[in-house]
Amino acid sequence: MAAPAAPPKPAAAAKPDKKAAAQNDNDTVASLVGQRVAVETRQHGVYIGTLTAASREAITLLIPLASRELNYSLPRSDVAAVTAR
Amino acid sequence: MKLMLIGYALSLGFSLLMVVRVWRASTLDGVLTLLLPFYFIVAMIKYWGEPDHDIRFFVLGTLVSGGIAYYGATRVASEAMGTPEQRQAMVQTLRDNGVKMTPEQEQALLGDDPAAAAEAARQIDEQYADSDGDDADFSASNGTATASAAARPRDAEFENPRPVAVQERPAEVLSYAEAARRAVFNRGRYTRDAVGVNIEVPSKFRLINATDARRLDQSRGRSEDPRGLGWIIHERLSLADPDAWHVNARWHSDGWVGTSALDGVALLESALANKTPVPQVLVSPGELIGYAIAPQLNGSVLDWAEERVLVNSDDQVVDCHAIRLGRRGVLEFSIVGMPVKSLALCQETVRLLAARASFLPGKEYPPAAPAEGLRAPYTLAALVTHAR
Repeated sequence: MAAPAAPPKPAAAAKPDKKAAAQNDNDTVASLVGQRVAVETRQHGVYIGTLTAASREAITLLIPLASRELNYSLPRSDVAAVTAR
Repeated sequence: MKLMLIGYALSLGFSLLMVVRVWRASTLDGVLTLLLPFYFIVAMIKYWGEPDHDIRFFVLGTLVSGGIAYYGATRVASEAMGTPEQRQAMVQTLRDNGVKMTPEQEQALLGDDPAAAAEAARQIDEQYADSDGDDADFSASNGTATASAAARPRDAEFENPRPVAVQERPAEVLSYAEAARRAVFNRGRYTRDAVGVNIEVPSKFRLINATDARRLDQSRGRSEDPRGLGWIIHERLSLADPDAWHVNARWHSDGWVGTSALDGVALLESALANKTPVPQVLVSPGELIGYAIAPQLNGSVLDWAEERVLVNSDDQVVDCHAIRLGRRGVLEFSIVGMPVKSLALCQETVRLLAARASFLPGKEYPPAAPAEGLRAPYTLAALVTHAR
């Protein structure tokens, strides 16, 4: 009689899930490039602008000011949420 | 004043009639009654009961009217010196304006003896006149007038919810270093009775009053801040360093400000859409990029941090604000132009100060608009988004 299969280790299962979630998140943010977005940071900050670039390291917003347009980069590690406006 | 004058006039009238009656009986007695202070007693006894020369009713009239005059005079003196609360407020004003007083002078000003208080006020007045033109509001010519002159701006500030116009003061040209050297560092509890606020200055900080802060601003060619209550600086920083950061404490006596739920994203949208901002709070000369810390209201304290890009530059700075709401206005603590990397320090400092500030009983923020008193012409959201 074959022995019952050991249950998979939770840590081993979580690792691919985390990676997948990060990949999904990257994909979600990348899909917003070109759109006007609101970025919320982990320090409870808020920035609004047009998402011009999104990578694993940073996201870049084009923020229209009264006198000019500003390219503003935020480290990806600081970003809590990106939502389309 | 009127009572005193009426008393004096009646007393003079009775005295003259008394002299006339005695004079008719005897010229010598009349002259002596006129010239000698208490000779009227002799004349009264001498002519007691004589229908044409009896002066007892005139003596009684003189004494009564003299009493009225004395009562009127004491009232005038006490009114001129003000109530103990007004005198306490006056001493606080003098302190705030940087007028130096000895403990004896201060005690005399707060004491119950009008003569001693007037003398102390006269001494301070002379001392001020001899000084090199300190710009405190302390220029009346005598003690009692000085007391009321010192009390007036405070009352005006308290009663008038609009910003108080800054009086014309002689321009004092000082170098920044000299202005910093002259500044007096206050520690412990700082009270502004006119505003009705206490600030418990944290142990590592020092408060510089509005007069010293104004001198420092003027020495750098900056315009005077009519809302300024003072600066608060960390003990490890040198005031002589023009680049040292400090907290600006400011009072907006615009009335009760209404609150509502604050949504950071919606507020930022509104602030960015506002192309002609009219900031009520202190801000750096630059344009808003976003909220480094979105506005959040905890109880009656609102705090937020703005990230700005300076004019004609790509340099970014943060302006940190904490507002404590009061019944008659709002108390602002702001640090402007801090490096972005110092955001945490900047925000924690203004939050700490707002937490250490409290309004005196009756001046606290009521959640609903009070039945009496003015309402500010802006909401909390407008204050944050610099809309008016």
